Amino acid sequence: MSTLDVYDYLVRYNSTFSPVVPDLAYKWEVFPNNSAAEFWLVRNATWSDGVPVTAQDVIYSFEVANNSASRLQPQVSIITSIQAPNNYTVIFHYHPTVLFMAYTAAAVPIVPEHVWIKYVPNPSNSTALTDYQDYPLVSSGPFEVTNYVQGQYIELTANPNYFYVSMRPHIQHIIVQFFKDTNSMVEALEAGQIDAVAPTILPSQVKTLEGYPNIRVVVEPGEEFWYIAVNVYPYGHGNPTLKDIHVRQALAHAINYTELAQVIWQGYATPAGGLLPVGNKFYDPNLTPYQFNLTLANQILNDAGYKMGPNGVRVSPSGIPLSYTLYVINEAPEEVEAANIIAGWWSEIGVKATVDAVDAGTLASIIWPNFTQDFDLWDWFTSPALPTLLDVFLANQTETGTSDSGYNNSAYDALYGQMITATNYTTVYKDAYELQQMLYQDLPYIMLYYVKSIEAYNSQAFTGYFDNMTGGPFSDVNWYTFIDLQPASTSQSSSTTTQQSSPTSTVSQPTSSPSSGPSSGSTPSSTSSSGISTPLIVGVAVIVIIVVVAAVVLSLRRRPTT
Amino acid sequence: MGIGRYIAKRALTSIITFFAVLVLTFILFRLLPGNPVLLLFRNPELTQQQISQLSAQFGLNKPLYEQFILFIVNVFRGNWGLSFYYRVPVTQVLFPALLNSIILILPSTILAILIGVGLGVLSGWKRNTLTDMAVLSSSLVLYAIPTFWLGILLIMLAVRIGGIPVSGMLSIGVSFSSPLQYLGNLLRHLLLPMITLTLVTLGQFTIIMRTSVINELTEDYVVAAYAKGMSESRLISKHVVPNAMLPTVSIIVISIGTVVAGAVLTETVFSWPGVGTLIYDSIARRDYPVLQGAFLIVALSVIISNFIADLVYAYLDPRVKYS
Repeated sequence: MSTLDVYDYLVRYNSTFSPVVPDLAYKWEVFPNNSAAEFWLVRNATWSDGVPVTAQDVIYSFEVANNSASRLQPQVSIITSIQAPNNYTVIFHYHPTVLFMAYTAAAVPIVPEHVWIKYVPNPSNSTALTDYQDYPLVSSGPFEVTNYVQGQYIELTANPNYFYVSMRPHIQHIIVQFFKDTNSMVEALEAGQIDAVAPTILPSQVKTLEGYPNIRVVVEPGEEFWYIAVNVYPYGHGNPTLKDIHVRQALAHAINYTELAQVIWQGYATPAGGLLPVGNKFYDPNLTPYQFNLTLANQILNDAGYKMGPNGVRVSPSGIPLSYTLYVINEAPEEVEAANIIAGWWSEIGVKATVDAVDAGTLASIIWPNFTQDFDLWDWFTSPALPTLLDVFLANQTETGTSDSGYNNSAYDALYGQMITATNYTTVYKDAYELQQMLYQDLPYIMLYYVKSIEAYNSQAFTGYFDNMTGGPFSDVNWYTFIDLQPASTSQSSSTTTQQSSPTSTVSQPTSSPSSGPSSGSTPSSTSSSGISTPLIVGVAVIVIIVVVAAVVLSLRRRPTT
Repeated sequence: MGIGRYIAKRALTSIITFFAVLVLTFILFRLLPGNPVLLLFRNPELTQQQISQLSAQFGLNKPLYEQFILFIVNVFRGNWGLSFYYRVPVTQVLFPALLNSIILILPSTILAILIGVGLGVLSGWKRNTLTDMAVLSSSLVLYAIPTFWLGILLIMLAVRIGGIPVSGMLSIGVSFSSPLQYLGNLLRHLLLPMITLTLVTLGQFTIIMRTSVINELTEDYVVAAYAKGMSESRLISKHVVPNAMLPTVSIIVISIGTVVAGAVLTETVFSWPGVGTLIYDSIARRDYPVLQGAFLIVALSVIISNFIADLVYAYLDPRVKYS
């Protein structure tokens, strides 16, 4: 979120994830062949050090994004050339696709060439780029980073010179504080020491918060889902019976998805059908969860010749028992419980699953490169704007450590290729649905549930939270909240007695790295008394939005996909 | 054996131990399954070429023995490598966290020792009375209480009382006009974590001290002194406590040695940016350089404090020198 509010982009997503909001480009045109686009840049944008933002910065930013150490590389690799006919016009040429605007143009933050070039003179030098700390940070967006302490907090200060007058923030400071533990974070919200919590709190904490009339809990579709990957890799070393579609179908029918979502997430999760979650633009509502039907599951296995063995475990026609290990990530205790419940249902159809909870590093080493696992119960986070998570099932993803099922289907690969090179959105949607349909039928993943995003804030301190969006007010695609926030003026006067002057805070997801490194730089100007009295409403606004970025959780459980 | 030789012998043992720790540290983290590059850059769009390039950049593609030699050489050069995760020199990540941990743990440990030893003496002295029972059982309970639970309990209490910060080290975004104000702010943030840490650690000192006081009280010289008519308080303070302190000294010194290891649970509950959580996170991230640095410091600190414990022992109990 903070990257979105600190840097400018050529264009931004609107609240339904279409790349149509002007930013540095006030106007643009995609050529009819869908292989070139021209952008006209505003002329009054400046960097926080006063230097104007020009087409050279745009070109440099896209070149840096194409560095092999950049997460954005795959998204910009479709570009064949970039030209700047003048200082305020940029023309891109790329391999034909209608996704260029959403997938590429709206994805790359524009960074200051004149600053970065001192450290990364050659944009494709990966060592220089990884070593560059980008702090103190020079940016052009609605907020500037005025203080940053690794693992503790980020302080954002409104950019008074922001060129986009209607997008200038209403409050002066926002502090994003990082908590290690959600319980402490929620307590701090209750105590009034912070003003909001994100990215996701636990269902059990919602009840506590409901007792506070000033605290509003926002539940929106989330970006995360949980699944069981089945090892179907043709060259893998898991139990070979899993390569039989009948076994996978029986297993999928032997899970009560509704009950699971209720028990594990107390209803704050939606039973899953297709790969892309509710809230993703390419979510397919026609794919509903497999029906829970133990009789049917038993029937499928009987018909396929899996006979019940003496110890209650079925045996394949070639004599292999349906006895598996179900790995689950141990950082998520509630999912370990889910795995145990699932193993219980499976035992009723003569399938033995031994649950083994391991950490992400261990699980990764079990899966890649040899595929010795049977199942792994894990999660993905995916941007609601794009269908590109579907690439996890491409055959070439088995070596790079992202495909945990080892799905290998040339028809799928071809269709995916067709989708990302389509020149109209009708085809993109059609292909995205069809790809999900293939996965639904082939079952490399048994989809469990889409987790909702639960966030909360003190509605009497500030208003203007942009709630109605996938991922909630503080998601990594929601750049509205920080700009729209304003002090809740009426109640503010009554509650200001606690001269709590901590500024505000947001979450920096570890996606493209806006900043990292030691603190220093300019000191924040907020004081506890009303010292600065900005032209804006109450002088120094006091918001502390707190985000638990349990770094462990983020780096391991969350696997952002840009 | 003279005192000089005794010290030399102890010092030599410490140095050998340190080398053993170096080797172990290196091997241990390589035994952890999991590749840091895959974990750090987990991205469905990463290409195989990017992965190998990143491995090369972190030196992970070199043979193990080469990595080991590099590691040893660099330890002594003070070059502890770049953190895989933070991409900055390890010292830059490690030392601030160490300092934060020491600020929290050292006072808590000292407080726990003072209170714990005091209670232990009291309890041993008044053994089998109501006081003893009360002290002993509450020490056991405190020792057994999960840190998380106690921490959250205190936080809830503080929320009801109000005005006590429940997380972090300092109020964020506040600029302090004087060092005194800064210190005040720090101390207020220190309050809850320090209480938690003191409470959960003091039990061990109480129990050990109580046992050794009771042991001493049954010695003949105590009976003799008592028979001579020495006052009970004088007997305890002049004779029993100094002798009973011996077994406690080693646990005290080692506790102080492990101050630099951080206190994962307390740090987590109160979002205290200490070294305990740093180590925990680094294990999950397979951030070898940070782990190696942290373990070296912890090992060094424990070895040095053991060395000091040996010296203190020799001073307190002259018999040690001749053993």
